[in-house]
Amino acid sequence: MDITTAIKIIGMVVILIGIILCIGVSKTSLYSPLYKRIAPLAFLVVPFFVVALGNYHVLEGSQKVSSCVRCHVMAPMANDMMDPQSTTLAARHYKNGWIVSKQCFTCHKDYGLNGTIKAKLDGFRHLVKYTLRTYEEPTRFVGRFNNQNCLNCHRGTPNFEAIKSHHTIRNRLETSQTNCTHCHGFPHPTPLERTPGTARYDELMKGEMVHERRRP
Amino acid sequence: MSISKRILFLVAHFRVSKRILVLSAYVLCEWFLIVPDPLPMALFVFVAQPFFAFAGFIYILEVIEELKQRGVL
Repeated sequence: MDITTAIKIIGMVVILIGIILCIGVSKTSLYSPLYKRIAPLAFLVVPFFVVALGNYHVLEGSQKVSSCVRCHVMAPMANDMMDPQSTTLAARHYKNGWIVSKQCFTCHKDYGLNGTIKAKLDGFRHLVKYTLRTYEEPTRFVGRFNNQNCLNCHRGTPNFEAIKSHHTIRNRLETSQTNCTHCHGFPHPTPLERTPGTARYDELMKGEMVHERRRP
Repeated sequence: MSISKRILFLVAHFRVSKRILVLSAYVLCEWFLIVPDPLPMALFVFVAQPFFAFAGFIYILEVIEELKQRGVL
């Protein structure tokens, strides 16, 4: 059992304790000694732990590909990644086993517990837009591609260092002024391919991960 | 009338029950942990957490008021 699952189970147990305490509080008189003992637990202590565990689950528990693909708009990305015929960067990383697990998160690390505040705010913005359905397909990347997500793994490797142009534009790569994708192709299907109504969109939506998304 | 008393008066006026707030927040959290879909996640982030915070705030105000009445504060 991994730590995320363990924390999830602990969270569920803590919530049940909270619910029992809350019911207990509602059955006791406001001035009884029992109320004074359990009310701080029900209203302050247990909620503190529940919020901490819940936020851990939001930030760290959602790193699996199956978690990412729970949002409808992510299905084309995940299906393309798992398509052996695809030549996008994500698909090449996946089929060659360069990233063994948490494939989405490994390249989108900013969302994790150690990520930047801006990435967290972006995550909340995506959550609001998705929940309220105030987005349009195809979704578009807002901001600048962060080369650090690539360089975290590739920097210093023999294959990377052997390419002369990597040294010539090293500063531009480090500061993301030149994107890795300029030379190495698209990381995911293009917005045109992800436009509803196109043949490619229908193909991308039929992949294996669509079924994964529907699993409980 | 102190600020905490005014807030508690408003809370009583609008019949805001911290027990109901906390119970619904617990239920939303449990839902999110069992089914980590976008909707339960949004409800946990934008509804359950503010509910917890508000209920805790009301409880602290009540404790402060009681301590004031007893002359401890």
